[in-house]
Amino acid sequence: MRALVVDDSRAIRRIIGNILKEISCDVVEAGNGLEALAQLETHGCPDLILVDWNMPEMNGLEFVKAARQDPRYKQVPMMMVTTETEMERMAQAFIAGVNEYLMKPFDKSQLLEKLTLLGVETGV
Amino acid sequence: MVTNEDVMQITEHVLGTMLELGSYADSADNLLTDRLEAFTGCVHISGEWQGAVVVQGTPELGRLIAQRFLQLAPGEVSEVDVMDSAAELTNMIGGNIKGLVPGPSSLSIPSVTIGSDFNFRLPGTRESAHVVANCEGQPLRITLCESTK
Repeated sequence: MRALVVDDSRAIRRIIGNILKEISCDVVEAGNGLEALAQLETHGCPDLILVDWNMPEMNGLEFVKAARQDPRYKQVPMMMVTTETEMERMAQAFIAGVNEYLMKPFDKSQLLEKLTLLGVETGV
Repeated sequence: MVTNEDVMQITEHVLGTMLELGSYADSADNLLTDRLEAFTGCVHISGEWQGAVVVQGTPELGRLIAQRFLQLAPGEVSEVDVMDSAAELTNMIGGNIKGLVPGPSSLSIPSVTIGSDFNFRLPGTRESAHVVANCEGQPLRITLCESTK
């Protein structure tokens, strides 16, 4: 399994990446939406995308909308991982095309639970 | 209105959940920001509610946060590691505070400064909440500044 982790925070990419590696998932990283689109072109469609909302250059919501418009990425499970806690924001993200939504801060068990909901084999 | 208790609860939640660091409200504000390598993080909230969240901590706490976020050994932590980690801590505290103020509003990308030879002020704001958390024996000051306009 291969996951694309999109977050402008190296700290968050490290935390999520380490948890994903523990469940035998290869991780590709991007620091914003534009970099993520470039990673998709370079590496092809991953099995899973985790994306932050607030990022420079292209934010997570814009990235989700752009990716979902491309037939190649219509079906890939996407999860928004963000500090945006308002219900309106969550609704916006789901309308744009994410399949799950995880608010920061989160712990390992919460992330694994959400991954399980996306159909990832986590051992939970 | 966001209270000091709200800010403290969010801070405890962020430190405890994300970094497994215990913290409690400290009655004394003994953070000396003139110390070399102290960090100051700031994130702005704009929209229906306007203001900023400022997070300040000691060099020791900065290194500890970086160790936990980036899973580094104590001797491996660089200044960039502290800045990246302090930025994310500021982002999380600010983002969760944003959820309590009148919306819709948006959160800026966090900015972080390390050092002591600077003056910091947010013109056109007043302090609306201020807490000092004691985290592993180190002070962490969180200030909510609300626009006066």
